[in-house]
Amino acid sequence: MIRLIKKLLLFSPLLLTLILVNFLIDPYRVFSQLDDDDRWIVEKLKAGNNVILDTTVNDRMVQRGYIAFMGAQKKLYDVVVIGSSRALQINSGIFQKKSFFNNSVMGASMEDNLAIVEMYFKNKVKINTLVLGIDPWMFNRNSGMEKWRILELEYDNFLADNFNYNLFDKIALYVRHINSSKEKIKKYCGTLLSLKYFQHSMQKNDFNYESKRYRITENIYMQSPVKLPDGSVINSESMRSADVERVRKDVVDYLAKAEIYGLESFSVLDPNLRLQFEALLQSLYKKNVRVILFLPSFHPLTYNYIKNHQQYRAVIDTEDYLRSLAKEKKMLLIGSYDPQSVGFTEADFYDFMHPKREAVENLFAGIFGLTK
Amino acid sequence: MLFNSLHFFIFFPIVFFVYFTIPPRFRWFWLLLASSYFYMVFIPQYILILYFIIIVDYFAGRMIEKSTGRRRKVYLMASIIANIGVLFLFKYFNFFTSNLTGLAHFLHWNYTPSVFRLLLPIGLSFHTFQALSYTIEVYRGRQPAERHLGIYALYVMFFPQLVAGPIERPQNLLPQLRQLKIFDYYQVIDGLKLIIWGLFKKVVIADRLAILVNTVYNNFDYYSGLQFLIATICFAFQIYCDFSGYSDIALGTAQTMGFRLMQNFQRPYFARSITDFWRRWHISLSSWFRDYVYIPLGGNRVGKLRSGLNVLVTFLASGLWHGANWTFVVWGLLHGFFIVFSRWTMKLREKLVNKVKLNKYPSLYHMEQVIVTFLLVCFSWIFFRAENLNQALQIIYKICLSLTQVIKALFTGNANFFSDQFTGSEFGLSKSGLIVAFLSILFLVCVQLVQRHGDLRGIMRDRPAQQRWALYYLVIIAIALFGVFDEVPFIYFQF
Repeated sequence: MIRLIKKLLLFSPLLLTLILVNFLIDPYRVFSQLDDDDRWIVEKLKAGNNVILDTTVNDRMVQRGYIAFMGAQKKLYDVVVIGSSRALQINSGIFQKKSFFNNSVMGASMEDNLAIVEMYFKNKVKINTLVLGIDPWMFNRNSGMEKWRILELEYDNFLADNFNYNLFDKIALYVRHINSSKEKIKKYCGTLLSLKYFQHSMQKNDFNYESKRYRITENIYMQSPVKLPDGSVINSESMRSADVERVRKDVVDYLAKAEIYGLESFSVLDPNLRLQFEALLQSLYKKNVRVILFLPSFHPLTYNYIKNHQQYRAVIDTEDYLRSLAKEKKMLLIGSYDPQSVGFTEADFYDFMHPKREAVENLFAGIFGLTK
Repeated sequence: MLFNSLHFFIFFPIVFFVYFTIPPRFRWFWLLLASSYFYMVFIPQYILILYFIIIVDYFAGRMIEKSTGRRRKVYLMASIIANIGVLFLFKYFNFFTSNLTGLAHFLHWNYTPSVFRLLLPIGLSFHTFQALSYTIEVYRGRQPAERHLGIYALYVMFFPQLVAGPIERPQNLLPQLRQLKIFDYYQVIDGLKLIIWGLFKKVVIADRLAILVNTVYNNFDYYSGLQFLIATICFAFQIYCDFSGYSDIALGTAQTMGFRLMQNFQRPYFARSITDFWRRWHISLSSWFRDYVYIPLGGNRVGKLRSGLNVLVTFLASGLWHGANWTFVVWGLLHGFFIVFSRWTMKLREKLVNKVKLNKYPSLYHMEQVIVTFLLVCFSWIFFRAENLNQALQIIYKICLSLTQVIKALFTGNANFFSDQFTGSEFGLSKSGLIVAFLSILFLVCVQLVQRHGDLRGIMRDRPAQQRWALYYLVIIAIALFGVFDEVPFIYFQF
């Protein structure tokens, strides 16, 4: 039997070649975790194109692909931004002549922030300054936001690295990921050993996929949202063209439903999420990354509603907490949930909670010199 | 589970290594478990049908052996009815009722039959015949009844030959299942070589030719007779490489574990007559029909006419075994007719050969016999492959028409005729795909020519190690680069 095994091992170069060719060439990007459309968006952004998106875009997967590119570039990014859609208006125009990218994702929660920072670390992305858009729901355990689960692996890895997980905790985490990734593992193993995939790899099928869902555009003011090469977004025509009166009407109608996005059952800042936030800041300090906190404002009517309803008290508490933390840690804090305190009026909003691009640019203009 | 799947390439090494690791007294159980798993990968519930047949035949065998006189026949008939009954229900019921419906409509009777909508259990025809050969041999006193239910179950379910043969005889397989199998390095290596060779035939030749054949046969209206002729010749190689490839993998798999299954193919396209063809093609099935249908009917020990009828009945049954369609019946009957015709005209043909002095050129005579046999076999393959009788007849008409046009073109020197027929990609294969197909058939023929002088594995064993390893690597790389990996099932799985 030993002799047989030794003889079979003589075929191992063939098996190794098969596995290596499939993995390294990977013509259909099976191992990149991105689907073809995600990968297409990343390729277009890398090439400096504006990409027309829709609401179905998996921006977390796009960030996964783009951050890998950022790491591969091995250059220093002067400024990067993470946060929710409310931070997507921060753009490279504010930080002229600086290398910049906005890695914000729609509906971001605290878990997303940790996961994206973990991706920076994993891909060895060099960062000078990180602008961290903080929304109050990021401290709400009951926000109901689940989109971060796409990045659950990175989130868990961040916790394991920063919360002193012992060996058993790490093994349990690993086993949990294996269990939830069984289908993926089966697919990867199948692809690594697939002779059909080997043939495709040998034919050197380059990724010349053309997306049917998305396309590039020269004109950045389109009906649909457009993602710019700096990662920021130009909102849709309907959002941009809405006048003050229409926005007010929409906000009033929205508030009449008595349910503000991400803020339901938000009675107190969740202690665990606070700990995670502080661990996030600590991990960035260790890497000598300067952190600027950005608090995007709510529409004046929305903020008044929040202020006047006790069940949203935690929003005010969140800002108080962040201000005291910024003072303690000597961090720059820009903006406020209260639009009045930063001089925003109703005309500065697309809707009940998204400040306009120009308003955000003006807000940051004042600190431009400090970020130079 | 297909032999040409990743699943099997994970399954088989596990079965093999555990088999030689566990104590010998548990090996039958391990193989039975593995065989059950192998079968259940298709449709798990159908294992119950297999277990039912096994239990019926096990007890039938025991009772036949214990009984005397007429009772023995009763138990044999019970076994035959149970086996053929299951086969009839799953395979022939709908065919029978649809023909009955046709007849009823013709006679203006009001008859609406029920339709049986269950899938045919995989390998049903094969293991049914294998089980029947056991009870028949016990009845004939040529095989003692197996007392161990597990060993008997393994005889029916042994996974290498479970779904597409070879159809084993109890005298060959049952004793081997009881023997202690020692790990034999050379047996394992020979078995692995056979598996690789079978895989080469299946994925490089058969599945590649299948693309061409399916393109032509599935688009009947678009192709000319000449293109159908080429597709038919390709089908001849496709079905041979597909089925013999499967058999090689089955034999090789069994051989690695120390079991010797019967040879199922002996270079059939080198046959010099249709009778010779059936001594070389699907040997396990043809010998089964010979021993359990043809000889009991009287064989050729009866008069000329009766003997001819026996041949036709045997081949009719053989055709039906292949499928519930009139095309298979005609295919079988054609072979029967060819054999009867060749017997009845033997003296006349010998006279003709002497007259043209062909016998003075034995090589030429041999080649003529091989070519004529091959063409007759290809002609019958048209019925085997066609969807229905009507299509088969139309294909034959198209071919005849094209052949007359070819003759006309040759006489008039019309070179454009041939270029008009073949413009490149009309066969569904790229130019390189066609070249690979052609070269691999050539390679196969060369290998078979070498095999006429001895077993290729034996010849290879005497070569220096570098030459052997170079060939192994070449074949495996050829499989990796040129194989078709769309997990095309083996043709004979449908039977």
